[in-house]
Amino acid sequence: MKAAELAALLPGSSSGELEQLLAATRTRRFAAGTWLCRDGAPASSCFFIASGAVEVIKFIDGEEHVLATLRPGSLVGQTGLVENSLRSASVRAKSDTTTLEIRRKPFQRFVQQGSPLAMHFQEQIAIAGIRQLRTAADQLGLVLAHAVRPSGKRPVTVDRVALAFIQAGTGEWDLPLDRSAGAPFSAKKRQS
Amino acid sequence: MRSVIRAVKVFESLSDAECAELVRFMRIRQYEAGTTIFECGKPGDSMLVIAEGALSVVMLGPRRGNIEVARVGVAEVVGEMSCIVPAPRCATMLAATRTTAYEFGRKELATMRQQAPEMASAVVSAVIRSVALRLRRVDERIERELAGHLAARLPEMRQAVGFSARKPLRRNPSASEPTGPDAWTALLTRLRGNA
Repeated sequence: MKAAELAALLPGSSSGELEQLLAATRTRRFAAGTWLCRDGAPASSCFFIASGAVEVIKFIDGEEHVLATLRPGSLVGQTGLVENSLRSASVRAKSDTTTLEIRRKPFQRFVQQGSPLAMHFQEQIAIAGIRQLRTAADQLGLVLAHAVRPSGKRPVTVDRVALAFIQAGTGEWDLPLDRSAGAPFSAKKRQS
Repeated sequence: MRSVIRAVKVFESLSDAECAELVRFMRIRQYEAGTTIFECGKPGDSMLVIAEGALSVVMLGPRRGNIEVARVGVAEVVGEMSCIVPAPRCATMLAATRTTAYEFGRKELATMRQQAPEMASAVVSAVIRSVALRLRRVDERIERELAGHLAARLPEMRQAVGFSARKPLRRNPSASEPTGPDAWTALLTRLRGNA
């Protein structure tokens, strides 16, 4: 992977910054159908999708469910940057895919250099984590809404207020409301 | 004050020296009992670390009226994500008693990035880590709840596939977003498939 190829995905970054990023990461290519990581495996890295596409997959009762399809400019597996974590889903290349694998230690050194690109990357990782937490908290709220409701024939209605309330009951009340999406890597905008 | 910062769980990955350094960038705030500190839905871009006193967190109850849903005490933090990603406050927070807090916001983070970039990245890493730990806890709870209730409640959940929501529950259904361990969505997908 060359800095020039990355420049399109990370506009506004100097070639020096991109070189630093490349030095802190490992280019890994995955043929369509191969796995980037598997659910339950120890995690120590995350992936920046540089080209191609990947699917986030969860197996439930042996059945495969595609949770999301991620395209260039996206990050996947960012909880791998936190120590002692396990993969919470499997990720498979949907087409031939090039990634930058970001391992914990070199990434720490990269962000400590304090370049704008490093800060931007760190911020994107934080945003991805917050979104994931918000989605998970919503799911937990829904599951609990069904669990506490007595069996009945009517479909269950859960509005935002009730859901926020249930979430507060689980201790997850301090989730900033969702206007936090921020500017994603601009590659996404170009695709849409 | 340093010992308050040291005792903050979100900052447990920081060294003692980093905690001391962080204090330099924080602003001291004092609130009389009953003061509204944050209002639900208003823009937020800072975190508060409680040094003395306590915050009362109130939300609009499902049947109207404000209900206290949490108390935030000494060495606890609110809004740590907003200092990285500004967002509307999720709840209204009042000073439950006379309260002293240390504020650290986006502005202070920007200053820190200029003056002490290593420190800034350590603070952001600490928040990322705390979000990841919370996520893990929520995921584990989802799995536990599903395991406990799924078998008994499958017929009910099958109906729930048609649940209605006054406001969309998933506000960002963009397919390009990582959704993580999405047992609930997967369950719905499967139930839809069977229906």
